[in-house]
Amino acid sequence: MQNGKTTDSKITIYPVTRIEGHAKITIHLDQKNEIEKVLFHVDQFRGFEKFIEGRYFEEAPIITAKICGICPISHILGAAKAGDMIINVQIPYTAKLLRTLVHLGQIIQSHSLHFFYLAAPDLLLGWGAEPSIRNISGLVQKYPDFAIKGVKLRKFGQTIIEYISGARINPKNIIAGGMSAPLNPKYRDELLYQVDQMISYAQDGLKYIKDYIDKNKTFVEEYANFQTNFLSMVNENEDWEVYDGKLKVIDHNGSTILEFDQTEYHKYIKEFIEDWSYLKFPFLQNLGYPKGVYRVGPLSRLNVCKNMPTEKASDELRYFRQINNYKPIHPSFYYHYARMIEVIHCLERVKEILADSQILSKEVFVKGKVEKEEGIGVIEAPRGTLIHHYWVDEKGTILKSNFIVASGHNSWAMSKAVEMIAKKFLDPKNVKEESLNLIEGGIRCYDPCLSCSTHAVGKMPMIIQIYDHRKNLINTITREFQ
Amino acid sequence: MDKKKILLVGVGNELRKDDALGPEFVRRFDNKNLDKLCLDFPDIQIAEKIAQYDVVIFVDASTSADECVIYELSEKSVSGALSHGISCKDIFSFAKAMYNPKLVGFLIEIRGYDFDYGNQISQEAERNLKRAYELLKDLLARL
Repeated sequence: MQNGKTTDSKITIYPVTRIEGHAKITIHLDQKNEIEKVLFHVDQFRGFEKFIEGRYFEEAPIITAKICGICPISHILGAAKAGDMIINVQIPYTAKLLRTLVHLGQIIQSHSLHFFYLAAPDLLLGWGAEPSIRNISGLVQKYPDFAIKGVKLRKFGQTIIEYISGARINPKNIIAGGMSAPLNPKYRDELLYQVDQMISYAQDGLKYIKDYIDKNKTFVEEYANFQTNFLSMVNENEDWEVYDGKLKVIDHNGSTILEFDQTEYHKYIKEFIEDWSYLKFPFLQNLGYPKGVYRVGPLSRLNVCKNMPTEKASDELRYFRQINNYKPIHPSFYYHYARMIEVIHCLERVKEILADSQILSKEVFVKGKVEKEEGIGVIEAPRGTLIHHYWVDEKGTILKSNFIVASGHNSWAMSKAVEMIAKKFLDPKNVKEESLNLIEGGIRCYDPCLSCSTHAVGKMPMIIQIYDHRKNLINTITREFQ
Repeated sequence: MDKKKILLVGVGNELRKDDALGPEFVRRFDNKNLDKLCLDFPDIQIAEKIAQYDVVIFVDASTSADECVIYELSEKSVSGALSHGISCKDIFSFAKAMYNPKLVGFLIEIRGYDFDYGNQISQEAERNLKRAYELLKDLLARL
């Protein structure tokens, strides 16, 4: 099936809007015209793993940054960490601080973009609001003070990226062996001057989502609520960590299933291939597919970690965990809540790192030469665990690579989410625009980044065609280009 | 009466021939009484800067306008776009709604013909560029 055409008894939502990248949802009906199954398709192909072959490993950060326009820093860091392993070096303390700082900036800007620009229009304007105003433009018109906070938070995150890595887009300072430039003291002072104000903005965003959940508790609890395992990086104390640590998996009840070094991911994680999506479906090898599927990202990180070791975020995490009596929280909607707690923690960590006595040190790089034939870099990208794995020859030429991206880990969960929401909120005989937005909203909980190469968000048409079990077209709904 | 603070903003990709009409116009327009800014593409974050002025005048290439048109922007003329497809109208609307309700905005659209890769503006577009200067001078005289 292509471009909204159908060949079977199904409803197609294409493209899914207010996500980064291209995707579609097909809803398959049975003979009673009830929903039988729902699939979340990623129908674009990128091919970075293939065309990076033959390039020098030190080019990997620059090349793989182009995978994503929203979180290039995540790919740069994954590739740079793999490069550190290939040249077999431990980067200097200050370089690690700077990489962590730029990564926190990445998470702040990405989460703010998602919460204030993509998710908030549904929450503030209503799931059934007119689609032409159910976006950031509509939000700015009706709630300008709220929108300003999102814009400023995102700008702050991007400013961190620019100051640490040299540019907001396609930066060059993050390299195998560390960083190519130290932090300018002027930039340190400027960021420190702004950070408290940013924390207050993030707290306002968090308060809003908490209030929304309090007022819509039943809806939130029923919105794509299903049990899975959860995977996340944690530090040596089992606390929240996004730059460097071990990987930990818990089951739906919170019991630890696995803990392993990030360089051994391939011993535990396999990828299942479904013939209806270009996304792969990672799963835990010991549990098999689909029992071994798991979720990643903000909700997973908060479910897996023991603590978020900063004052405000730690308090918020404690409150968050009361939702399910200190057991893992499963409803997909809580990704939004978790995301805003993470923004607060990231800002607090930014403040701590900027105050570190070594942050201005000029020792940010260590030389090395190719010593290993494999390099693996794992980080927690805004949307979840990101794995870069390279095989190189003795000169450092990349022979093969494997990337497992955050949105891939969540493939199964996103399909499950839309199926549950469709069955609950969509009447195939009377399709309403609000129902379709609720289904899309299930995907948006996970904030998938499916490539974000050329997507004109909010301007895409949507075509839904409903066929009965005899393949007769019974209804067509079109949302025109806006 | 205080002199109005005016910002002239050229928008366009300078590697796509006539798409560079906006930035090229701004660079060539010699007037010390206004500030200038060139953007590859509009971004919501620029709204804060724009809002510091009394008047903002965007200059952008167009595929559909007549040779050259100028019109006043309305805060309601938004497209509903987000990050990749945001327009000058959106930016003006954001600046007015979020920061400066008194902001006045204009858009000069200059017809382009060739948007292929390259840094040369087409001859037809060059003619339209000259016409745009006249329009802007008229506008500034009225402000």
